[in-house]
Amino acid sequence: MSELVTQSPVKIKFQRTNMKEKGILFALILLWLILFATNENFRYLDSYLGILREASFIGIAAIGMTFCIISGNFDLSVGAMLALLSLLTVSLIGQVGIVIGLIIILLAGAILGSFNGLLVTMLKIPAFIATLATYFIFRAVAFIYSDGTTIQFSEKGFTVLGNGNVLGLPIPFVLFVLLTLLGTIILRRTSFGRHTLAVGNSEKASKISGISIIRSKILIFATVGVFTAVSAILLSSRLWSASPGMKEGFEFDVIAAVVLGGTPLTGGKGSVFNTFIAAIFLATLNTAMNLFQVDSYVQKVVIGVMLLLALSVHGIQKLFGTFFKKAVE
Amino acid sequence: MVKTFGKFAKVKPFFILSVVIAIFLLAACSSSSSGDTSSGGNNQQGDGDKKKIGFSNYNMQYGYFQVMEKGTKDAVEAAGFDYVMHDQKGDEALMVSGSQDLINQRVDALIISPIKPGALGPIVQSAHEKNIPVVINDVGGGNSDYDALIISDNYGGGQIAGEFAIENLKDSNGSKEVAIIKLPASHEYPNKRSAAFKKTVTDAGYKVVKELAGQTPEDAYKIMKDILTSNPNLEAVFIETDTMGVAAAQAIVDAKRQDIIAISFDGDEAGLQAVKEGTLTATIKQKPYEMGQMAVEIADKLIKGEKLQFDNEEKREIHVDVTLVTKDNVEEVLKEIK
Repeated sequence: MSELVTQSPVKIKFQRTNMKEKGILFALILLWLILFATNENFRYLDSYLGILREASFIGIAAIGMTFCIISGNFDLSVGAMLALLSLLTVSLIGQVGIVIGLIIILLAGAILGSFNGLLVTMLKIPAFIATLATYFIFRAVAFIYSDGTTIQFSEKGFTVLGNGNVLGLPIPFVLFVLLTLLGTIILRRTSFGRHTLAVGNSEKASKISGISIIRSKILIFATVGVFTAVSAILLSSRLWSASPGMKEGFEFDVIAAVVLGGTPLTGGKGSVFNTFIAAIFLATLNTAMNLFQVDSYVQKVVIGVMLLLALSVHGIQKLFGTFFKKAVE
Repeated sequence: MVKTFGKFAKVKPFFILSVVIAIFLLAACSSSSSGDTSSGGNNQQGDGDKKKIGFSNYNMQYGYFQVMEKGTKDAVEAAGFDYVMHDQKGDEALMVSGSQDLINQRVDALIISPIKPGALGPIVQSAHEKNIPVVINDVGGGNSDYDALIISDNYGGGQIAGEFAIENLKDSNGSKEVAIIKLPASHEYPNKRSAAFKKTVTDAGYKVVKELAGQTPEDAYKIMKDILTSNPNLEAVFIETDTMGVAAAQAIVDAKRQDIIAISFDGDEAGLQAVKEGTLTATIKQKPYEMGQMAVEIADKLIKGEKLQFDNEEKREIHVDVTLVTKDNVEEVLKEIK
C-alpha cells in the first residue's frame, strides 16, 4: 500500500526493477554463459531454442499463477486442469474446427478457474483446500472422460502450433513473450491488476476502499484457468496427443517458476516478467542436467536445493539488513 | 549508505545462487568427462567419426527396462560407439523434451522405449529433419513414422500361456472359469497377450468370467481379491505384466487359494522369483537384454543405410520370441540373468 501513497511511484518502480527484480535475469545470463563455456552442445542455437520452447508450456500457466499468488491465493489444480483441457483440445479440434475449438477451450479454462474462485469466495474454503479438492476432481474427470486412454489428433495440421517456428523462433515461445507483455500490462495498467495487488496487500483495506473482493478473486482464478488453457492447447499440440495422467506434478513446476521469480507466497507484489525469466531458468536447468547426464533423481535434488536457496533470499536479506543497520548505529 | 547496501543485499543472494549452480555444473562437467565417454564436455572433439547412440528409456524404476538399458549400453560400448541415455520417468512430456535434447546432442541414431507411443510423432519428425533414424524398442509405435519397431511376440506369448493353462487344467474337471487382468486399452501390444490367451482358452471350452484392467501392483492386488470374492470357482488367471502378476499372486496366497493357476508375462526378476517361490505358476519371459542389443544392431544398420528384414513389413515390426518359465526351468533362467 505504501507505493500508492508515495509521491512518485513511477520512479520507485524503476529503481526496484533495476536492482532487485533483475536478480533472476542475471542468474539466467550467468547460467547460459557457463553452459556455453563448458558444454559443446550449448554452442548450437538449437539447444537454446529447445529450452525456450519447453519453458513456454510451464511459463504460460505460470503467468496466470503469478496473478493468483500475488493476490495471496494458491491454485493446486492447474496440473489436473491442464490434463482435462488437453484432452478437450485433442477431441474438439478435429470436430468443430480450430477457431471455434480454441474459443471453447479458453472458455472452458475460464469456467474451471471460476469454479475454483467460487469455492474460495462463496463457500469460504481456503484456496489450498479448495484447489486440492478440484485437483482430484479434474484429474478424475479427465480419466473418466478419456476412459484412461491416450487420445491422438485426427487433425495433424494443428500440431504445428506446438512444434513449428515463426521467424526462426518456436511458436509457443513467441506466444509466451506476447502473453508476458499482456500479463505485465494487465497487472500494472488495468484496474483488475491493481485490484489483484491490493487484495494481496490487504483484503480488509481493499474492501474498505470499495473493491469487490468476490469479483476480483473469481476473476483471478478465471485468469489462472485461461492461461492454463493456453498451456494445454500448446502442450497437446506439441505432444500430438493428450492423456489423463499427463504432466503429473505440473502444478509444482508452475508454482516453482512463480516463486523463483520472486513473487512471495504472502502476496501483494510480484512481476510477470520475472516469472517469465524464472520459467526459462528452470527449463535451462532441466536441459542442462540432461546434457550433463545428471542422474534423474539427483536432478530433483538440485531443483529442490535451488528453490530453497531462492526462497531463503528474503531471510538472508533481513539478516543482512538488520546486521548492517546495527553496525552503522 | 545504508540504502546502497540494502540494494546490494537484495542482489547478492542471486549471485550466491548463481555461483552455487556454476560450481555444480563445473563439477558435473568434470566428472562426466573423466568418467565414461557419454555426452561430456570437450572430450568428443577430434573424434568426429565416432558414432553416438541416444536411448530414451521408459522408466528406470522398472526392472524390465533396467535390463533393457543394460543390454543397449553393453552393445553400444561393444561396438565402440558413444552412448547417451535419458529417463522418461513415466512422463510423456519428459519423453518429448528429453528426446529432443538427445537429438540436439547430434546423436546418429535414436532408440526409444516410449511411455506413450501416441506422443512419438513430434520426436520422429524432429529426428528425421536431421536425418536421424528412430528405432522404437518395445511398447509400440503409435502410428508414427518410425524406422523400425522391435517388439516381443506378444500374441504368440499369450497363446503359450493359454496352452499352458489348458494343459494343467485338463484333469481338473472344475468350473472351467478363468479371469484376465490386463493393462488399460492404450497398451496396444501388451493387450495382444490377453487377446491371444482369451482366444486359446475359449477355443478349448473355457469361459473368461472377468476381464479387468489395471496398471500398478496395488490395482492388481485389489482386482484379484474382488475376482476371488465374486468368482470363487475360478481355476486360472492370466495377468499381462509381472509387475501386476506378483501382486495378484500375493492376493491368491493371502486368500489361501493356491489351487488357482496364475500366469503372467515379462519374466523380470520379481516375476521369476515369484515362480521360484511357487506363488506364480508360470511367466512368459521376454528378452529385454537381447532387445536392447538388437536395437543397437538395427540402429547401426540404419545409420549405414542397410536394408532391414521385417516380420511385418507394413508396420516395420521386428519380432522377438518369448519363452515359458515354470518351476522346472526357473533356476536356469535366474542364473542366466544374473
